[in-house]
Amino acid sequence: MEDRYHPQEVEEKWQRLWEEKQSFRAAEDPARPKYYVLEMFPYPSGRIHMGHVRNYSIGDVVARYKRMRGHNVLHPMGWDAFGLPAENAAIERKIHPEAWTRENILYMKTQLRRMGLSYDWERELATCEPDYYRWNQWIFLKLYERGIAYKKKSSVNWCPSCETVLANEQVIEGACWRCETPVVEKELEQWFFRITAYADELLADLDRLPGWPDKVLAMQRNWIGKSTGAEIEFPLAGGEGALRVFTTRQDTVYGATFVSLAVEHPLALELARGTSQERAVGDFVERIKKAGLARRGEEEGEKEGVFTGSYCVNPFTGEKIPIYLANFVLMEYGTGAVMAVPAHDQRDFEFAKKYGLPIRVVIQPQGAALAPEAMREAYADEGVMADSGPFTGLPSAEGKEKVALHLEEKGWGKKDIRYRLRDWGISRQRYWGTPIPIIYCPKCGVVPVPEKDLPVALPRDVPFTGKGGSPLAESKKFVETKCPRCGGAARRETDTMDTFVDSSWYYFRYTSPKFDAAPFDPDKAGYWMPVDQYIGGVEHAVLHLLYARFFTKALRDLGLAKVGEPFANLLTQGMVSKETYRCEDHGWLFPAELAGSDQAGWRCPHCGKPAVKGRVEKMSKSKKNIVDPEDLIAAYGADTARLFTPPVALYFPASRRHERRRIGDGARRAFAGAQGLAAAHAPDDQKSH
Amino acid sequence: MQRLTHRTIKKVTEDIETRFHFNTAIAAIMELLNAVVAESQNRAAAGARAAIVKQAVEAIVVLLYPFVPHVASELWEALDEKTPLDRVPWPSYSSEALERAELLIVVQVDGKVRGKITVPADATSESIEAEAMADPKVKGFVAGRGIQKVIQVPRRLVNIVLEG
Repeated sequence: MEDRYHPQEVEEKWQRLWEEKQSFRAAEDPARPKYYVLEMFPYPSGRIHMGHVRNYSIGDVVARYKRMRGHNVLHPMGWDAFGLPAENAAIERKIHPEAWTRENILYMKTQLRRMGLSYDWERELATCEPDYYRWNQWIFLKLYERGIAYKKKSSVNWCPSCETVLANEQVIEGACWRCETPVVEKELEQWFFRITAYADELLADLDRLPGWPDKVLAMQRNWIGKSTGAEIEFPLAGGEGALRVFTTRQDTVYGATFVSLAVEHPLALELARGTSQERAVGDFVERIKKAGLARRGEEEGEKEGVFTGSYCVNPFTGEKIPIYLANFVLMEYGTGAVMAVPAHDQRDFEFAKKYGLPIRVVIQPQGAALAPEAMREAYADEGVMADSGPFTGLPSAEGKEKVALHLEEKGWGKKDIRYRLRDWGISRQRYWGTPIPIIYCPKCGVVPVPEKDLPVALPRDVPFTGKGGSPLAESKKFVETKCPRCGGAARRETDTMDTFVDSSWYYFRYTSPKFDAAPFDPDKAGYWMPVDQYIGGVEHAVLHLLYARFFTKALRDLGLAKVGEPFANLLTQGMVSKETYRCEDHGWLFPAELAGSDQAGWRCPHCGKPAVKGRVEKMSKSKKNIVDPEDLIAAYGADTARLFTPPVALYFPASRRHERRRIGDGARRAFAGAQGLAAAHAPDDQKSH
Repeated sequence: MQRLTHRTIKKVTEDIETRFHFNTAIAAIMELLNAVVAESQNRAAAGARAAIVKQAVEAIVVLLYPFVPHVASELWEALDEKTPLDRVPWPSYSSEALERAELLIVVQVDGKVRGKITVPADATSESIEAEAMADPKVKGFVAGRGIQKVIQVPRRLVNIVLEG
């Protein structure tokens, strides 16, 4: 052995050996306990970043440790390869999304190999492969058969300039993130997965996940948002029909002094028809719809509304109360109609103050007496019912129960449970995703693509302009097809699936990545699943993890999966952060380009002005506070990068030159010590060399 | 040394298994490494305790493997081990070896700490008292004075109370 340690040579030697010996190949072995460790697979954005290095290093420690403990370890890696960045690259740089994605995968795979991670590369998968996404389509068809996949009209954020649907996150202050055109609300036919059919189970099973962080469990509970309450009918005054409202506070029903409707409520315009308010209501509905979905329902927003000109009756008080439209009531939640109790709900309180509506106190806190005129804000807590007819004097909890029973006796409504969770809209007007396997026939209507015709492959002859709705609609060859039922001319669905579909079941596919009779081999998945340890960013605490849980349950109900929960233990990691430096004239600066020193202070290399040390922020190219793992590996080797990524490398105070010295010195010292000992304790014949 | 080796194995195992506290695991391995370096520089001890040191060195390399697999594999090869490192079972620790073999006893004179002595874990109270009296520092404080009584807190403390 030489005196100096050369990480590049040594590491490449071992990586070659591990590969030759296929040291990390996994095969089912009922005789040994299995252990499935998985890191959330990356989007092939181009290069590995520090967040990846951290997650993969943790996973690799666990994988290698478990192998030594005698476990049969499955540790796979793949690519979450569909998504918008590839399409943006196509628009901006005229490179096909597939070419861009494949280049990135190749590069990043080289980087991962160089880290010496103990993956079974034989199981590598990429979700953009027809061999993978055909199973997205297959699952979609099965869910369609069972009524879990369905189509409905729904309100979406729409950019009239880009002619595309925008996610709420893509609406910045009411405007399109890309072209800054004001966003409007639009009704579109969209495909949905009925995740709400599993709401109860998704909630209840959280109690069976002791290996998950409490914070993530709480976020999931909150997202599912179960509320127990009652549905109450408020009959329309002087007319047929009634408004159905949902409330969790039926103990406050005597304080309901008006009813508020969402602008999308089916009766919104009808109630105003023929009244003096007709015009005002029409204008209001149009204006609020234009404001876009994203900003509504926010707590802080200005409460606005308009009187519909109509009244309904509070069944408990027998009183005629006005019906308003309000911008903060959403059709998506509850019934699109709420009984407004200004004394005990803050939004209703602000609304009542603004429009001069009565405020009636019907819940009194312990040891105090509220008076409406003295109230500065709503009293939203529980208390004792007051001015509530036969219920007066009951504590809120008991009152809720009694009021609900009374409702059911009188036929005014019923006990009810609602969820905040909405069905999952999966239609995207994008190219780089899984085509939805549906055909529209003028005669037969909606016809699913027969299983034997899968995959519905992405066409190549599609222009990328960033405009004009679904790019697939531009390909005649793709769109024009024959109806599988009647053989007549028909058109294909041109939307693709949300890429979260791809990542909802990939961990099953790893257990039998080449299986061609179903998404995965139920026996192999039966051996390996659930994932024993799942590792990834906390930004996925809600959506990805919830969708994956939903898919696992749906796949179980299809008879494929033998587990009801996919991930036994979960480790979530925060963002990788680092301090930022900024010059008032030259903007963000790379730590490495700073002039000066720790003692003398750091200066801008361009003008010599002091570089201001900013907040510790998520590593990003734009803020120039990134550390490129490739640089670390080139300078010190993979072991050092892996070892020092989590605790040390992120907190270096000054320049990268400085960082390098510290990391390098530490690693070298440790190695020299260990090496000296190894030499001292090796058999004599080795010492002579 | 043997105890430290077992203690380190226990700590690293638990840090990986239950806490993902990899930095403290690494710190524990480095501590063991430093102890081994010190021990092997001690020529006198080298001969008698070579086996224990070798055991510690092997443990260090195996414990390092999940974190820094390349370096660890290279070192393992240098130790001329026949089994490839990725096939070596994870070391186990014995609670017997973890038991403290020696005790550190604080010696007070009139309630003030005047010295510390190391005694075998199975030492009798008589021998502990004798050890305490023999400690050079303690001797200095006791010299020329009469002893009223000696109080012992088992396994921890000896307090020598002098006559007024």
